[in-house]
Amino acid sequence: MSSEAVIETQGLTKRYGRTWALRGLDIEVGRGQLYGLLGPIGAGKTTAIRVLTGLVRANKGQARLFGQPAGSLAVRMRHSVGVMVEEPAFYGYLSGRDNLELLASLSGGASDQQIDRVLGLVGLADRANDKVATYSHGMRQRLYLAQALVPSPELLILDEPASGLDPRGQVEVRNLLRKLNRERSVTVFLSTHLLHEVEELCTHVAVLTNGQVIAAGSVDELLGSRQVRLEVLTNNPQRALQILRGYHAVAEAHSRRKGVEVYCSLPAVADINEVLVDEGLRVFGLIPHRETLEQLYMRLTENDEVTPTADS
Amino acid sequence: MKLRQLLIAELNKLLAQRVTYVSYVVLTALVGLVVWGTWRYGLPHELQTALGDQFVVGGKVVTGPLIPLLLIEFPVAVYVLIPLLIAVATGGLVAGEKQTGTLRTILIRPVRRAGVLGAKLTAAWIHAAGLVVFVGVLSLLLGYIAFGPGDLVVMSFKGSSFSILAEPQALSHLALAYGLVVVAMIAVASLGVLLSVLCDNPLTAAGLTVAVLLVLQSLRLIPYFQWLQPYLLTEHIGAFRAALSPMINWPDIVTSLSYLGAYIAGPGLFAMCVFWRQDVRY
Repeated sequence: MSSEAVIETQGLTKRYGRTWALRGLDIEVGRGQLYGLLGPIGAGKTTAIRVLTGLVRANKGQARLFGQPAGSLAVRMRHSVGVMVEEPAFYGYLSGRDNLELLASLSGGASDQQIDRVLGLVGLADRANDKVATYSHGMRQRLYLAQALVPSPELLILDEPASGLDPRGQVEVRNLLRKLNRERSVTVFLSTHLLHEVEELCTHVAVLTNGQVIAAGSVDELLGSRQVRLEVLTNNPQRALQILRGYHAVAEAHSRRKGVEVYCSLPAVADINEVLVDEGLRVFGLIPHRETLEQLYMRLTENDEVTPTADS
Repeated sequence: MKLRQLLIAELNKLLAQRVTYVSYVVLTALVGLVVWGTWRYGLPHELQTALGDQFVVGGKVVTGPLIPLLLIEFPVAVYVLIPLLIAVATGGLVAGEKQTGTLRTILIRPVRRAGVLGAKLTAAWIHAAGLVVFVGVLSLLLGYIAFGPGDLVVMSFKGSSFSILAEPQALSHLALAYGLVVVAMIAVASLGVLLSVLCDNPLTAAGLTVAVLLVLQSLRLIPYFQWLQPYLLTEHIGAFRAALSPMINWPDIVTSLSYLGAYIAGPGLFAMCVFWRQDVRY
């Protein structure tokens, strides 16, 4: 196992009765990464987080946080970990501030200034003294994020952090996570089924279905290693097609109404431009269409028969 | 240090809940009713009958210390009402927090499960003791306000005899009796916490706790199960009676305390073992 890994799981298996939630989960999250665990509902994302945070016990395999065994015994390590798992749950008869103070007291306590700062960060400063029972779902979700930020985590484990937030709230949460990652090197491990959330926020991703990782790596690696579809707009499409069909870096080339469509690697785009110009053609445009995470995800999961797990 | 913080958190939660205050309001109403009934109608019928035909009583029979005695002897209070109020509170401690998801919110903090349950058990015990002490102190206070000081007439358990305890002696015997009820109610709280750990719904946990006590109480009354009687929790809830005779029956008290100790520790340890391994999926 890597010494730099903040989260590591090896062959993690969890079964609820006859239902398999995790079937040998292998994940490695490096320090400072923004790591997305992506998968359909019921893929085992929440179970993975439950095991990592000690809420449930794995049947087999290992889970480590900061190189130490995770689980209910990993109490000391959890001082450095902020967690959101499933729906926000608070004491409705206490105010947002009282809830935070109560929870912070279990992590060694937090000063009034720290509580105020976190409430301000999540946009709850104005309603901090109102009882949580009067909060909307979105406000509870913000408070849930706030409790994960108290006192000062090195690692955030977040289960669907943008769930229940309006579009502005979702953007604010993403910006906050980026800021924490950039300014304080906080490692973020989040599970979600929202593809755009991962695409916009994460540097690394693992795609999970039926309790197993089917693809993992940096987002650029996963998307950039694939071919791009390139639209080539020139003054002489017929000639361009002829040239590009014979060019080694082009896998396929087709004539299209507006020009030529070729499939090649992303670095080959500049070479294609150079070849066409050298042949005396005028190039009006080279438009690469990279495979989106959504397309990758759909392609990876299209053959999977999703069996319901305990998350669903 | 962490256990103290967890305990403070649990006590704060108990104090912040309406059900806690409702419990004290209900007990205040009960004590108030007993004081009013005694003021309006005098001695309870059994005591009046026992005294009236055979003795000429000089001075007061209804005195301040009589009210805590009536409340402790009143079976509804010690066998039904206080256990019910304890069961409602303990049901919420674990099963209630499972249902609302707040147990998950607690367990994702850097706390040990043993510490969390230890704090919950201790809070339940403090709450149980608090209810009993509240009844004792309030009834004594209201008794003194309504009827003034005086000696205490104590009937034997079966109503065949009675004794008179001088006031200082009466107060010390009452304190011991209430102390024994405190221990018995702590055992009820341990049972309640165990069932709260085993259930996912606070009402089910509270209902089961009361049901278990009723079943144990029923077993005492069924002749076939007479042999079980010395081992039953409900038998030892009545240990306070040994403190109410002029000569305190210490051997009976020690025996009952041993059984009550087992009823406190057994369910508590079992609850700890279950909670330690329990998957929290709520």
